[in-house]
Amino acid sequence: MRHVKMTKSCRLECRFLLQSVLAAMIALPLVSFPAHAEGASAQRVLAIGGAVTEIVYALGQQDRLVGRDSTSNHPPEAAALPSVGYIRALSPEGVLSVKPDLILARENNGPPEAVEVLKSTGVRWVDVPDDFTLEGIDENITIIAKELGVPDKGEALKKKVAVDIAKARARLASIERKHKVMFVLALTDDKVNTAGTNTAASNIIELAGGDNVITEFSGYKQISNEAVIEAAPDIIVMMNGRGESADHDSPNALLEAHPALSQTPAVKNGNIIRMDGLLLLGFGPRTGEAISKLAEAFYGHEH
Amino acid sequence: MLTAKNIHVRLGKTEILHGIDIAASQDHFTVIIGPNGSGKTTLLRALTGEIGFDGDVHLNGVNIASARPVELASLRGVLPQAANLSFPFTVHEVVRLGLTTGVQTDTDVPGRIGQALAAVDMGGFGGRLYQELSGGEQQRVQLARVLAQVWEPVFEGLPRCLFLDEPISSLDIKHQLQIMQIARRYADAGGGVVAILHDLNLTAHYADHVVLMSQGRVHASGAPKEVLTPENLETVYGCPMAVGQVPPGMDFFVLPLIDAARRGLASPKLAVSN
Amino acid sequence: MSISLNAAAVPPADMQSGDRTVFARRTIALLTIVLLITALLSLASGATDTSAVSVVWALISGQDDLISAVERVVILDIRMPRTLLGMMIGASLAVSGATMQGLFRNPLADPGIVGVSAGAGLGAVSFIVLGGSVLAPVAALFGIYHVPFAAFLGGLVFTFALYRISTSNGRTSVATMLLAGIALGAMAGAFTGLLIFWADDNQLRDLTFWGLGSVAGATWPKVLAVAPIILPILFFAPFMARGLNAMTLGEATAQHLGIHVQIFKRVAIVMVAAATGASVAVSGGIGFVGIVVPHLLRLSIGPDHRYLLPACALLGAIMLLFADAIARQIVAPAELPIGIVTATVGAPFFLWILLRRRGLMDI
Repeated sequence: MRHVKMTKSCRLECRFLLQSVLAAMIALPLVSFPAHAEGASAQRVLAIGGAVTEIVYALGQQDRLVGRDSTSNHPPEAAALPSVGYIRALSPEGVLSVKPDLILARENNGPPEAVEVLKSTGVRWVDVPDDFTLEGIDENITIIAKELGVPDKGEALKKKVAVDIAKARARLASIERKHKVMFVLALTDDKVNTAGTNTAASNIIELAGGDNVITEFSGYKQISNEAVIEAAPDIIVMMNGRGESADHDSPNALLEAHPALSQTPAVKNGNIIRMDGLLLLGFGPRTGEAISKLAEAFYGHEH
Repeated sequence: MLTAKNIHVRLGKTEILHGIDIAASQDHFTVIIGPNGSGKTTLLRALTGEIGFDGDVHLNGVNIASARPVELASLRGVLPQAANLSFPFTVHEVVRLGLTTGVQTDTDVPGRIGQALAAVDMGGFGGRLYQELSGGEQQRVQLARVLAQVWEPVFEGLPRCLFLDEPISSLDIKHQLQIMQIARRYADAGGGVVAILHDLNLTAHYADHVVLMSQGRVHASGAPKEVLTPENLETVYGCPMAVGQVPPGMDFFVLPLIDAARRGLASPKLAVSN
Repeated sequence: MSISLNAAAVPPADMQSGDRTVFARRTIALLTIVLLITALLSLASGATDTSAVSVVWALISGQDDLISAVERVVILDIRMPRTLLGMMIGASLAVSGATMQGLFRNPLADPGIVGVSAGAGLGAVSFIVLGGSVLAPVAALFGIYHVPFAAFLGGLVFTFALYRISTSNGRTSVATMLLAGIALGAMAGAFTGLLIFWADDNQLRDLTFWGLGSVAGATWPKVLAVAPIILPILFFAPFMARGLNAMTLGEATAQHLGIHVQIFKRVAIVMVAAATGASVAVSGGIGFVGIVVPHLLRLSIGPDHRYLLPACALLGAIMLLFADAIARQIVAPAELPIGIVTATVGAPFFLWILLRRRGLMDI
């Protein structure tokens, strides 16, 4: 009877083999097929990303849509379209099953292997930047309108969006003191998850004339209760459905019961603003509406 | 066949065996007796290579400390005190485990398993689940497994050895005798048997060579009549014993008629006083 | 324990010989056929209604122009690697589970018990969160596959650590492994928690999906990366059968029966770590296959590992393909992570095993 000994060097060899195989596979060029349908004549469009879907509708091209992702919930009619799932968990065959000839995908889609496979089919794949700025909105509209072959409608939409935003921000020139605003992403387990710098939330707050009070970090992070009290925001902004109590008569009951939040001027004075997540953070064509609502809520009573 | 010299075994900081010398020859049924804690099982474990020891153990000339498990498996079978199974094996499959290393490739496996089960009076039990058997039946199945492993007492000119740790402790009298018969016949056919027993009467009747242990040392060893003396037994067991005669004041006792049982084992006859 | 019959009196009612070999062989043959059918069905079905038959026919007969690029990609680059990967992962998880259960003599041991799942998880999470910053140079070496590679590495490292902790003087104690595994798992959990804290929203979503398990990301590079690890192990596993059978009676008796127990344990642990590590690396956390499949088979063909291991490979592959079919059809065109499917079926089954065993014996 022979005894098998798996020595350390054997295991290292196995690992090396794996590394080499992976490296070789990555070095192989992907087979590429010639790109198919020109964007202008694309009749079966898949929109991935809430703002992308909104823009397609705003350009009046919704009849060409054959599918959306799970974050596309505006306008309500979009719900009737088949959903290919979460933007970062796409399934290659699922995407292909709606037979798209053009895929418009907001950046931060995934997983990367699925995207590679989809690109290898030759279906036109267009990445749409997601940088939650006003310039970003313009860029989005330009790219999508060009792909759909309606550049003039695109220009018109850009103008409309610019006008909406300008009107919304008009009153901001005359404010004396900026309010301190804190965006609360989630309140699970009484832990306050809030937005720092370089987030869609902080940008929209700043655009609406508020002062995003959390500046010590970037991204969305959990902060301690003492930091919440330190920050002492005048206004709290949240998405619909988050931190809401089931009691309709006092929707802010959870916030009022929270040991730290209840000590903030925002909760003491009842200055809690809730808005639909896609509207607030999507940086799509309704951005003007979002800014307007926020500005009104921040400063409306001061005029 | 088996020679062991100067065996020392330490468990943690305590020394359990203090320099044991023991020899077991082929054709002999060697029995190790002694009170609880005298080191019998520890000694058996050392002799079968289950635990580490200082000293020298040779089985058929092979140094067991350096031999490969396969080599040893072809020379001897070991019956442990208890065995728990976590999976639902059938009796047939448990006995088959004895043939794990398949020492002889031309073995008729189902035939051997049947023979082994018949030898321990469990013929026909092959299809039963091991876990559903009683303690005594399980013990017999384990012995069948050991027998299946080293079925021929002498193989290729070398004697094989059975190491049995309390093989009859859970059995009724009839089956106790049966097992002792098997060991006796194995020795008579040229193999060796080393067994740990508690029953002094059966030891007296069946053993060729007795080793009496006490507190990690060999107190006495030799033929049964030499070792099982009232003086030895009282010293080691701490309890006075009558050897070869009925003790005064004891007018009721039960002893098996071993010779009669040997001849048929159809119905064990017992001698009952009065 | 039931009352024993007096051996010389009534023989038991069922006069089977107790040798389940013939039944086991037949079952394995049957499972092989079922696997082939399941694999073909898996190739033939999917969210698109691409016909596998026509694509394969077109390719074989050289008439490439009959099929579109999409159809070709669906069959060759999506369904084929997915089916192959699913089969390999299902087989390796089931065989690893059976091996660990044999080694630990406990039917509830799962393949992750050697620490490989905790390590793989930590490796994956580290690279998901830090792959863009601190670990970027390392991640760049492996391109889009840096997470699977990290998971595989993490699994091996953890298993190695666990093995070293449980081994002294050349003897590996499986009891120590169990307990040390809990400790190491807790440590991994702590580090993972820290990484979760640092993660941004996107990374958090990625972590979650990774943990839920998925075969959706199956690509040829992944198949070709794990095949050299998993396939040899699957073919080698039946050689472990004798040792695993002998181990049922305990390590001492296994040694007496001729198995070199310490070497055997080492080999078994390395096998399981590599196979499970590779599987977890490319598919995330898929649970319960390693427990459900061996247990089902033990109930039918018995615990003899000579037949149990091959049968586990076959049934594990079948089960994974089935779960994958559900995962990608039930909410089409979206997809459920496969770990959800195996957990939904596996968890109640696991509970059932526990409840049934309460009366039988103590584990």
